[in-house]
Amino acid sequence: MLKFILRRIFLEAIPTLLVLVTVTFFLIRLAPGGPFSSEMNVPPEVKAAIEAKYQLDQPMSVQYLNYLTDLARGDLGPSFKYKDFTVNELVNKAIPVSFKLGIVAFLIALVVGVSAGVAAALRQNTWIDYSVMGVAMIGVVLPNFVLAPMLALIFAVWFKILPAGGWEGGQIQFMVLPVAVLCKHYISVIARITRGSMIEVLGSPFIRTARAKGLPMHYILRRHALKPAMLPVVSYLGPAFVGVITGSVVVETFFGIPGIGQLFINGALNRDYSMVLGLTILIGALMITFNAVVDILYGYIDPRIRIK
Amino acid sequence: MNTAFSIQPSLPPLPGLDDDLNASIRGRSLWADARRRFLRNHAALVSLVILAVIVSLCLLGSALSPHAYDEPDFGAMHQAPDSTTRHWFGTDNLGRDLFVRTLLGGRISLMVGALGALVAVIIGTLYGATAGFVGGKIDSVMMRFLEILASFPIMFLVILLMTLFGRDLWLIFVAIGAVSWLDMARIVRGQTLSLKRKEFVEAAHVAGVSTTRIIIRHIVPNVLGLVAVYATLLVPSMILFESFLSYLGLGVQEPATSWGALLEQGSKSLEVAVWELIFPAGFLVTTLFCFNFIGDGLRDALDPKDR
Amino acid sequence: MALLEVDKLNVRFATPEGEVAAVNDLSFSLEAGASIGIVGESGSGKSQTAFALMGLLAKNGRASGEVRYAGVDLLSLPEAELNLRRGAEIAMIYQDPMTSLNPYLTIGDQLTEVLQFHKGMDNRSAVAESIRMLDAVRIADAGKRMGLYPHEFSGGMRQRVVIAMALLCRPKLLIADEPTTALDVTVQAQILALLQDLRRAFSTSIILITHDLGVVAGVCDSVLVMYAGRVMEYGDARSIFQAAAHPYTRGLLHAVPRLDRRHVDATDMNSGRLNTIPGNPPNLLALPPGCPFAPRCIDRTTACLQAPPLEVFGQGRRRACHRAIGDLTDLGSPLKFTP
Repeated sequence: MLKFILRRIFLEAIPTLLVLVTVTFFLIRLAPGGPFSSEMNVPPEVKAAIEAKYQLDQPMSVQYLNYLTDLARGDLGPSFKYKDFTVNELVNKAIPVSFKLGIVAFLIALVVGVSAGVAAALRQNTWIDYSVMGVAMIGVVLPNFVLAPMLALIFAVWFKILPAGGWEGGQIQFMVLPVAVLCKHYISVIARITRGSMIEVLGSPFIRTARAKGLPMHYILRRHALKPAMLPVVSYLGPAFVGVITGSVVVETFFGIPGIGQLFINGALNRDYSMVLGLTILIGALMITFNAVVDILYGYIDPRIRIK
Repeated sequence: MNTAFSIQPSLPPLPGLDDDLNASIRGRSLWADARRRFLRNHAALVSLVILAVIVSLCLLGSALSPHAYDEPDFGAMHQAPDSTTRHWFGTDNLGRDLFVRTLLGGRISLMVGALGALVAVIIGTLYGATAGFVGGKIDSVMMRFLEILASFPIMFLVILLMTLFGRDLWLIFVAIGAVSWLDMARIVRGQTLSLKRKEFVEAAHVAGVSTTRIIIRHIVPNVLGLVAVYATLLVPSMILFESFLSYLGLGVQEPATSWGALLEQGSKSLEVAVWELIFPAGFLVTTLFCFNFIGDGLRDALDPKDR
Repeated sequence: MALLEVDKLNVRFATPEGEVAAVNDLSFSLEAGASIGIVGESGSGKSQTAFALMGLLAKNGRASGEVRYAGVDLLSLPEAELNLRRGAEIAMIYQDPMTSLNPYLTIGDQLTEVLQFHKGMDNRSAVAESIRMLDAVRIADAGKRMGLYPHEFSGGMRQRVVIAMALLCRPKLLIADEPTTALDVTVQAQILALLQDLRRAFSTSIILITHDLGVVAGVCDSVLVMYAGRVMEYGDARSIFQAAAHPYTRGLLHAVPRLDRRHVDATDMNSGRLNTIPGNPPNLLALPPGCPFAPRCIDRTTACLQAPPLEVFGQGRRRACHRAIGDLTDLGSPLKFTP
């Protein structure tokens, strides 16, 4: 198991991260009208800071190494747009907001999705199954940027029971709509996956064995079926996490929430290169780490991988 | 379908019984069978009709309206739908006709969807077929590369690209298509691996046909059914991707538009002009549903053991 | 009173292509300590019979008729009542030991839970009893192996674990569904010998389900031959092996591999092939009219367009065939009845 973890980290996660960093490094130097060309409309103070920072007079290899060292120290450089701030300062303020939103949505998606999926699987081809699957179908197809304005219209404009946007330090009423929008897709997908794998597991020979042993159904579900049925859900956690982060871009933009998603989009719209670059790498690193954690978790659950 | 049962040729014929038996043996081809199953799927059929209506509206519908998509009318901003002014869907914040703009947006969204899916299908199929067919070290290197790409924050990289290289419609096609072929490649590779062991491929190999030729002549045609299913499911995700970018202001730029861009405008004028949200949203969501139902229908038709 | 009486058991499956009749009017009875072999190719309904007896049919399946175990009709029993008997009085072992054990739980967990539920044992005594049973099925080092997962065992070992699991509560009836099919020949013989020993030791009745008459020969008192969900022939093992009265049974007997003629493998060195019944097993969705075996039968006549009744003859024997026994082709059998 230790070997598996070490291999996952040193042979997969870290090289992937290195490739990502390298690709973005060269992309940004290839860009026409990029931050390192003179046409760029950058305040002179920032420009001077950048030139000092990236040592543009040095050869590319030195620049690359410096860039790597900075990243390794967690330094994402100065913002191109906000001359008084570094990217780190802006990101540090935004991260807790996005994390709060993301984690709440993620947990709700997991709990609701799994319960709905199990219920649908146990009551296959009844109205429970059909309504869960129907709602899940809508949840998968309906985009965030359609649902968000619709919910705002209904709950903020018509009924006036929830605010249409804002964050106010993450008070509960400001979180309801964003979290609802953010988690609906993952509730749907997790419900679908859970239902499918639960049905498959319940039809497998070892469940028949357990039933032939005269064990009661609730015990079989808990003890024999839940773990194998959860494996596909566990392997979906990686993509789901990525999706929640990506989805938060729309949600934060629409509801005016000061998280990293909004920071990223403002950076992109304002062509704040170091911000976009820094966030891409940060989010990439998060995703790669999270995927590694999920893989290790998977290995821990499935004894057949654990032994290898 | 397998034939139900066959009469043993080695046995002496038995007139009455054998005739009955022969009558009940009906061979059906794979495709006829798939078509029969698809035609039985009402959701898919209805979706097909609705989609056809939406596509022809988007292509030809703007001719019905006297308005142009980029003609502002500052005397008629945020106007509700009204048949006397022939603003059937109302007007937007600049007084432009929403009917024409919705259809134009649809044209662009559908085009991005179709072209993006096409790029993804071509790259994915060739990549997957090659990896699966060549196998060995090359396969594992190609798959490793795929894994690395898959663990990238694709959406963010695309936005980084758009930030660096400007917001160009063609860049959107390429970027979207180029990052969406990963799943396709995996699926095709799996299919190729199983095809590779089939006799007709081995026969071609023994006969000295080159690898490239085998991939193009034998492997690709045989994975087409599967590719068609996933291409149908790719189109809506491409449309969604484009709408996402446009919604964030990174996609299609004014005065051109797409459903995503219209939705962004619509959600800003939510409180004064609901129609600016409803019409584009209705078109987008209906189209997405149609593609999903059609894709599901095709998958069930071609691969009945699923579900 | 017999331990088990099956009376006109019918099993139907609702499928998108129509209703499938997997088992038709099956009747037999089994005395305590006796054993019966249910024999047929795939699609004969033999496995579905087993699942119907255990109340384990797939969701779209429905069993009708009566299955009286110790006088109680199992088919009409509520799930909770059935659970008191399943695993305790009636146990089952399966065709594929690879998939019939839960890959995510240790062998120990899967064994002890049976005792905890049915005997109310605490964990310690359940572990001790499980180890004793693993010893009984001749798994060496049982104490250590309790903590292993199924994939850490070989196929034959897993089947021993499954058998141990079935025998934990000393069941009165053991249903063995193709217990040796997935195993290689030497292991097969060991497992069959083990079943015989255990049957004597615990005086358990056995229903042995198999496609291989050779397996039945060493274990069973009586034999039931099924084809396409119907009984073709029924009788005591000795008379069936000595004088099969149905063309299908004769075909099956003829098809048994002959160890005495260097016939070990599927490719025979002398004739180049194994004796088989020509044709494919029946497709239950499209059965021929009349006798289902007719398309493959060398003795068929026009009479076979009508389904033959199950006639009683000899000493409690039954068969379903229009032709007189004397008219049937004699294929000869390599098998000698041994017990």
